[in-house]
Amino acid sequence: MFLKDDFLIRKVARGLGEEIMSEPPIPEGKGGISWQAVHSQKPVVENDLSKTQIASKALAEGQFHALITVPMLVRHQVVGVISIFARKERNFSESDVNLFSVIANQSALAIISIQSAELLLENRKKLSEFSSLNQISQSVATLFNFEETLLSIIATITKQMEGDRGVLALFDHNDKLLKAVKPAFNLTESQVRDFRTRSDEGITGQVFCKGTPLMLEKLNPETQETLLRAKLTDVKSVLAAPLKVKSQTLGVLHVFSKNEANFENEDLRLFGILSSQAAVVVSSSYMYREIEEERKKDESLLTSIGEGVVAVGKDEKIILLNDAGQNFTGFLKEELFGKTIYETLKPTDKKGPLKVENSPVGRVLKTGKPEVLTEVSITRHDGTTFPARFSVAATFDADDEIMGVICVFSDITKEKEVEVMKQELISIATHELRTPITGVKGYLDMILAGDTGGVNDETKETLQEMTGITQKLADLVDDLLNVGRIEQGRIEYKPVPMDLSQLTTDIIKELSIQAKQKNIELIYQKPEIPEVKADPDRTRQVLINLIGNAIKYTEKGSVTVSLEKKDQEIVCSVKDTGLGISKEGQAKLFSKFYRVKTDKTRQITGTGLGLWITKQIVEMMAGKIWVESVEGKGSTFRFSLPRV
Amino acid sequence: MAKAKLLLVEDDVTLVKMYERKFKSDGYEVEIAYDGEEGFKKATDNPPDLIVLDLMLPKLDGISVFKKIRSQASTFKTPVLMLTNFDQEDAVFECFKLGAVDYLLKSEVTPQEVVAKIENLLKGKEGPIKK
Repeated sequence: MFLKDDFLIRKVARGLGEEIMSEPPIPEGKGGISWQAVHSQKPVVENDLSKTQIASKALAEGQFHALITVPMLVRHQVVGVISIFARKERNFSESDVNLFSVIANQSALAIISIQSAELLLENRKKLSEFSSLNQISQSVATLFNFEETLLSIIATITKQMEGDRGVLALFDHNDKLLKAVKPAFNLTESQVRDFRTRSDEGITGQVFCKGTPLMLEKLNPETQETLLRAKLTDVKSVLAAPLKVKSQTLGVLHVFSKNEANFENEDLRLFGILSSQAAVVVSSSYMYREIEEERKKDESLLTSIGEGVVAVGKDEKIILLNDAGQNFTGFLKEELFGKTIYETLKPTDKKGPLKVENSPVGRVLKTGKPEVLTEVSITRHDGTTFPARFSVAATFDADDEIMGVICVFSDITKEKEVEVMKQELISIATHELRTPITGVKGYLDMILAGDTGGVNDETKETLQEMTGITQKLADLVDDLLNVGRIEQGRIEYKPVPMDLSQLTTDIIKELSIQAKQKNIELIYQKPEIPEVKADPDRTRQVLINLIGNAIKYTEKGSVTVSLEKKDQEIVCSVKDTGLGISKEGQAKLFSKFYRVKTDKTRQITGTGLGLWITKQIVEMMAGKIWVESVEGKGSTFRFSLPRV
Repeated sequence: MAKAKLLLVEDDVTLVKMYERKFKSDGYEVEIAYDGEEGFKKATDNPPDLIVLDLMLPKLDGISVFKKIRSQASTFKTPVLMLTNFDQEDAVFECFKLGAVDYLLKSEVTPQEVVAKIENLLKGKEGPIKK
């Protein structure tokens, strides 16, 4: 019977008929022999049952003569009782009582370790995650100390067998040796360390291979050699039994005696039974250790993360908050457990507080696809808020089912301040640069216009050269200003229905002077196409950039611009017969400050920002941009814009 | 004989010199103000025929100057030409709402073009631009 709350619940019965199992649990108030054993934590023996009132009807009908009830103890705690009935007249002797007590306690340990193992196994799925891991392994750890348990098992078995020493040797799969492990009963550290044997050697090897208990009344040479290596000099006889879990043999349990022929055949059978209980504890202990290691790894990982981590289960209730998360939010994890992030951290984006119905957490729980919110405001315990980057990712169990999400967040207050400062600096610097450039350009223009008196042709040419350089400087400043705006999301655009073919015509006209100067043919045939939805000024910027680049990077030949309708989009292609771009170059082409570097491009000026800006603008207008190119043959840049 | 009187409100000395030189060489009488307050004072004390106004100004920004000028009877109708490097759309929108005759980006136009614009505006060839 197991003790649960204030009841003793029947678990297993043998030889008592089936009815006994259907009887109700015995409440504490009812007392009786079983409860007497629970309270006293000592065996209760009743050698004449005829004088005793037996509560159980099934038992009363069984006509038993004697009864022994022993408590099952684990670390001085009663977990249940075992009762043994005798029909025949029989007095339970003290040795009977001792033996039953040992068995009861062993069973208790075995039961608890099986329960722990089951608990662990049940939760194993969840263990890849951090959730209940903490609580489970902690509760198991306090409930059950494997090392202590194992030692107590080995010690009681050794004593029960009237041996002097007890040691467990486990099979090491790496070096294929059976090695003694701690804890051992009455062996020194060095003896444990040095007790090892091959699996085909001595009694240990034999037991391991055969899988049955064996006994040595006198040492054989092989066994003696093994024992001597471990300086176990006073061993004269040995009991050895395999530690089996299911069909697998984990190792061998030994009991040594300093007397020859200390053990009898009768002992061998009991020893075998008791060893099987040790096996359960050993295997659970392994599993436990493995899980414990996993837990420690996860825990240290979580603690060491500088970012806040909050995990929620499938019901969106919080099940974990790491140290950094506590520091960021001012909440203690206990305050958040079982609540949702909406009622506690109140994440709020630009559109307002995230809601259960439409939150990234809910979406990720459904789709499993991670999401990142670049800026969310999170409420602290004291009601203040801070800006955070907030990423949400699903966690999966062993069957790849979503079982929750993990949100990682970090306080970006400082980053934002720095970012603002950086942008302000760029913005002010570029604005300030514009003014002197305007001055230089203005004066050059005035000189060229003859406002300051006549200039000769040579001077004029030089001044025109200077005007060109100044213009490049001005373009560079514009690019930098644009980058700043795009990064701050300050670039404004108003998509309206517009005629892309007409805009292209205008731009081609504008750029034809440039093309003519380089002797490059600029080809474009205005097509009949539907309108696109885009910002005219920004689209203009895109076209000027792409066509301008094509002219810039083409030495001879032509630049062809074409427009075509494709599904719901209009695709614009700018094809040149220029230098072409290598595969590696193509990959980086649209990134910031990237410039194609070859001997030929060295002469061509630029900031490496144009294509990045172009890409940002196209994407802002719900379009795409890409490139196809063969080195030495030319490149084709394409971008799409949505149709009206 | 001076064609017309211009008030240039601009804080950058280099640019002031440049535009002043250009305006004067084209025969305009030029009054200079280096900050917003001075700009407003000079505009109301002795109303010019046209105000060339920058946006980013010390003491009082261009938009505020514009609003104050518009609130005075003497300068209520004085044409104001924006000449600035500040190109945020909301500023452009605000200036046109206040009745700016045009909005020029210093870095995009030559002094020659500025003068041409002023000339056209004063001759009445161009009215205020509606956007």
